[in-house]
Amino acid sequence: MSDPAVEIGTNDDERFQVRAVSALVAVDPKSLVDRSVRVRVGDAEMELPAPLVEMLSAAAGLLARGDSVAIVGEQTEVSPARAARLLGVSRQYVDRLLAEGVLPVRRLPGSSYRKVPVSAVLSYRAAREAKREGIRRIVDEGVAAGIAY
Amino acid sequence: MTLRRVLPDTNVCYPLSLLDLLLRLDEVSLHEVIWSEDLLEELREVWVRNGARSLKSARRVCDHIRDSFAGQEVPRPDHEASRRLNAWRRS
Repeated sequence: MSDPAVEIGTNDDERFQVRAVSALVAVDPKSLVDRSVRVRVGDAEMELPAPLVEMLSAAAGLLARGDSVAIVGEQTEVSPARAARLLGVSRQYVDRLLAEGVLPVRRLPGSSYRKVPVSAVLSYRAAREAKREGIRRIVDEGVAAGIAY
Repeated sequence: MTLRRVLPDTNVCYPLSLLDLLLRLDEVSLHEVIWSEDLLEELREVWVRNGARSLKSARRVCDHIRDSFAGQEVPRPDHEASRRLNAWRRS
């Protein structure tokens, strides 16, 4: 069973082109109304709506610096293995989070498959990053105050 | 099995090394640290009273705990009840 998610990476040649696109579309989302990005497919051409330009800008920025990008709908549910990839942790770590109720899980009826809402995975990741940043600041504050560790 | 919740006493949060360890174990979900304004107030007071930190530095650390662990605050009456329960268990 595959997860409805798209993962995109780049090779070195593509990264060069992506950097150029990134520079072109790296716009402040607030000023999107003043910028137009047009896409042409064959003879058809149309202007991209603001949400798509914002997505393109964010994705191009990440790809340009060599990161890969995953596009996953917030309503989507993913397997524990995919959740582990989104979090950058091991599958065993995600199993523990599911067992302890840190992440919600839905068991598919009559099967051993388990599904995790992407929205919960992304919220958990955001909270963990905020904590990591907070701890870094607390330690930096201690070092600046001359406190022995 | 649910994640163990930990309400630390002030003396555990006082040294930087223990505070760092306590919060990092929360970050990787080995336990969940809960805190209250009473705890932060007492922590700020003893740091400053003992000359361990300036008032400004103590306030900044408390602000970082408030901001980064925002969903884990327990209201004052709950904190007081937990402290009484812990004291009763130790007695």
